[in-house]
Amino acid sequence: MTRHAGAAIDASRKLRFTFDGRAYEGVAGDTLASALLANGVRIVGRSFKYHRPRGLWGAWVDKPNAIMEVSLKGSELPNCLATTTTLEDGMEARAVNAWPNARRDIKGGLDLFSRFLTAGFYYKTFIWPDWHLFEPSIRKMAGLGSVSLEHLDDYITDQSHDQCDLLVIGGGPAGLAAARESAEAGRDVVLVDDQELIGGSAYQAPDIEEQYPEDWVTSQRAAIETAGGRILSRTTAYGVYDHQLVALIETRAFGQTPRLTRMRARHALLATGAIDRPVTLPGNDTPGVMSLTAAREYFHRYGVLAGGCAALISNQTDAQTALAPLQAAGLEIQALDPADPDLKIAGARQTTGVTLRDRHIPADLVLTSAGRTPMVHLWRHAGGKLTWSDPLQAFLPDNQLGWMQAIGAANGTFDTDTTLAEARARATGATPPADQPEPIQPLWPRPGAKGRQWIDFQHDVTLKDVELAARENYASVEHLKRYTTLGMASDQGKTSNMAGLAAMATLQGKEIPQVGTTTFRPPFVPVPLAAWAGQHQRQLYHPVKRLALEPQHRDAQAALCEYGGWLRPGWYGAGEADTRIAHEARTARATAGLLDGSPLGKIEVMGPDATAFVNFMFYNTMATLKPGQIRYGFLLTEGGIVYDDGVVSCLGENHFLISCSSSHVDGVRGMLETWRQDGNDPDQIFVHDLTMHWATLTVTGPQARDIVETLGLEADLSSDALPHMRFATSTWNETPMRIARVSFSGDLSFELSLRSSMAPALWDHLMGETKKIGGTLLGIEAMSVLRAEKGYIMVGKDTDGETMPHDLGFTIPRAKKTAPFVGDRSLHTETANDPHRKQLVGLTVPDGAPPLATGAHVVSDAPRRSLGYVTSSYLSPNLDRPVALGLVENGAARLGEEVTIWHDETLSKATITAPCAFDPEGDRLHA
Amino acid sequence: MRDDSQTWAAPAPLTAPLDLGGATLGRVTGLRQTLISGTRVLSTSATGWPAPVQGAPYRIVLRRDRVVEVGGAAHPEGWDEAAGEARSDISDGWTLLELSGAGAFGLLRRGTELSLAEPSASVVRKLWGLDVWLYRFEAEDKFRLHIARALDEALIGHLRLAADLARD
Repeated sequence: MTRHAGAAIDASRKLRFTFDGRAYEGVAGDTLASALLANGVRIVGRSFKYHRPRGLWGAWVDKPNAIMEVSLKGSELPNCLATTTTLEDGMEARAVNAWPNARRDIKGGLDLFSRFLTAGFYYKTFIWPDWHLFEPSIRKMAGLGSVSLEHLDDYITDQSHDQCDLLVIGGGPAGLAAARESAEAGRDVVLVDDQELIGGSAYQAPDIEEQYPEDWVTSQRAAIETAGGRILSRTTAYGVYDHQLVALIETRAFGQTPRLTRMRARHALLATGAIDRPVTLPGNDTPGVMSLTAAREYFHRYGVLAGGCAALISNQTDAQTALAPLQAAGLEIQALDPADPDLKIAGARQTTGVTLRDRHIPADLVLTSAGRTPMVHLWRHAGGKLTWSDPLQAFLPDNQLGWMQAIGAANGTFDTDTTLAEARARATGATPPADQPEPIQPLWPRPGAKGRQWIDFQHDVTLKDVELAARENYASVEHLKRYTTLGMASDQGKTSNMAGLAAMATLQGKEIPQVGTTTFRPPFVPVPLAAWAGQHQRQLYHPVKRLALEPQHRDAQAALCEYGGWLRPGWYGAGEADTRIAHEARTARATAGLLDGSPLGKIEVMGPDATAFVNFMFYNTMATLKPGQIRYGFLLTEGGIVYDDGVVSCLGENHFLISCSSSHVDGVRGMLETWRQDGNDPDQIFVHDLTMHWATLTVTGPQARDIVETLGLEADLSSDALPHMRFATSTWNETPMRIARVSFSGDLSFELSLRSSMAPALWDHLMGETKKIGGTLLGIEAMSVLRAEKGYIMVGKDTDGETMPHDLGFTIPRAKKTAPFVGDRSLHTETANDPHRKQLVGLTVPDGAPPLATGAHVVSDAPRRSLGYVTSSYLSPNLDRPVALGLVENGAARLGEEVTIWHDETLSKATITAPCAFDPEGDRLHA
Repeated sequence: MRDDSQTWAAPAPLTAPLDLGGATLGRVTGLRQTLISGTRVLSTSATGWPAPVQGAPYRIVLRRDRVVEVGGAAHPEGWDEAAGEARSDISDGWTLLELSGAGAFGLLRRGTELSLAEPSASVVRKLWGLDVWLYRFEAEDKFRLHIARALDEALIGHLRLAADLARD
């Protein structure tokens, strides 16, 4: 391993690593790529489709093929780009898409069939008899690298938010000069650079402002920090999002999760530099063909000379001057005319030189550049427009965005002194001096040329593929991309897009700007999905709402299940769930059950217009409610669809309590707030959601009153004083308590509400009394059975996105309510009056038949079509037979009709009945 | 329905101050919280962001017609025609947490975009997607957070994890 003096990194500390099983030595500050190059490794990967050997083209993010699976100290990460992966001692790297190794890949033989595997071949080839026949094996072959099946518990990304006056993206000469200028002017400046050693291309210059590049970078850095500026190294700005939000990802030690910062920048300067474009000529993917800039970077930053004898094919006017230091270090260079159409790269696994007609020019390195492409990705993310520069043969930012401007090479300014002047001017809002770029000769692909000329090095797209796409009329660059996969790889076409669209322009006889570019989308570089997830995983991914009584439920061996965002008891006790649920449902009907109903909505509406507003919000008439009365009702959407149901209690003049479904509280609150401000006077109506403050315990069953009476409340609980659908207040243990005679079970029920902190004491008391009389704790599952026996619906389960209240048997308000209400108009449309609407019914099965499957279809016999479906189905322990609810076309007129049920390819019979199967007279309810 | 009792760890109430590295998280108890809505609620002194609140009782602004009084006396609940205010006791509905220390602001910035240079009339924020009321209390580095009781476990979990990640 040879290192040349003058490298920017400190090459004194040696590091050991392996690549494809072979041991090598690198130095601290190396990337995997620079270390491999220093060790003379020329084949670092294989291409995606043809498995062709690939060497190092670029030195940083512009390398399409050096993709590796890397492991270190138990951490293993797929798809690490060797050119951006910092070398660490003990690393084990392996090329992806190659077996047994990149040097001798067993699938390399695929290249022999390349003439049959042109663009779009699989669209055409695998169409018969069925694409799905081939899909599994093709998908198995596709992709780069493999994701570990192990869940990395500690792989959680630290996310943070930040703000700054000026975000400078890129720590090269332009970025450093701009950041210093701005910081010293007193602005809050953040400079980000994706390398550990900031400086960008600075190290390639012989000197900057009469200082050695290293000294110049150090002095700029010190000045920025002294002035209060912040410098974030190893940090890539990978995306620009709405409202000037720039996503930053900080790479850390291997195996450590990256850090993500959401930076809100008032202004941004884009100093992201430019990359070399490959020269499109036969054999241009051969290992040993390298970008001009990469060779300089490997030399100046890492001290690695990429070869001993180089051929130079470039249209850059300063190419030979730029290579002078490499020449001085021993690199022999022969410059060739880049416009000569007969140039070919010689060699297969490693270049042996360049062939020019009958002449062979020996070389172990071919340095190429067809011009420089400014890195405008972030500019386009931000919505900036591009203009075409004829002298530079490149798209440049038009710098009309306002908050973001490009400087330096990203702006097409390649001369260092001009760059510094431009950067300092932009940093202070001044107009930079006009740049007169030295024009370059166009050097683009020549369609029709012989030989395999590579456009996309990762996805193996050749010039002939682009020609084929044009012939088949995939002429738009977006179609070209999808048809050929050009630019769709993990490098997102950094090196291929310009050549591809230039070729397409020539094929269509257009200018390059007329063809345009494909869309630039974040991320600029691959970002682990964990970076986006951040802390939102496991219990913090979508946290459930926790009951105040959860400890008590756990003590009672509750099976806690998620219902509408709440973690609630599904059933209690160990053993078979169905057995426990049946026991609870049976016991609640026999004696009593105690249910934690705390998530039920408790939304209060107050104010001078409260009565009119509640009446407006509900389908059912609420204006006639008197204090102490409760009424059941529906909330509809504007389309007349049932959004929720619940009960409204009149607590007093101008004061109502809406008890909506547990899972709809947030939605109902939002609906009330919306309508309060729309068509109503928001100064006369106020909505307070008090669901969390109040806990609600429901005692239900024939002996419910006996249990509640043990609380010693001053309220009269008799059916005369507090009948069904009445409300009372009282105090318990000096705490206000609300008592509602409402029932979801169809039995005598009391809903007792008091502040949550008192719920444990009330629970303990009621549980003790319930158990004394042989009652039960009641989970949601048993309550679901009880309500289904009664034919009570659950909105969203027994209704769908088309159900209107008259489909559920509630017809009177639609016909007679004169006051306006939400959804009214939609209840009188042709659709609403359709005689074939699905209506709520009950369904019974023949004796001995099992319960119907929820979701099973009610079907017509001939022709067979769905007439509706089963919405709820249970084995009723109280009726000792299955009960079911369903929505069936014109169901209300079909009572007694036998229908056919289809489920899972089998047919059975059921009879349509009224929804209520238990105590239809309601005697138990009014007890 | 699936039994998720083991999926979700039992709640671990915050009974003592929690050391989060550069910050301490504690629970504030015993203070009445009254939700007050009305067109004139902003005529009395009420705080938004980032000016620190001083002493108790105090009022924080949720929106132009809504404040929360913290540490005040009990009010009659319901609609007060004379005052033109709707009042509700919400003390048991919202958990009041206090986060203090030099690292407190850094932790909060992990949950939302926050700037001391950008004032807001309202204390309503989304922190890790959770609805909170956030303001400074008595000191530059002391913050109070109100979170719906049923979700306080999630907010405490986020703050714990953020502190762990910040230390890493």
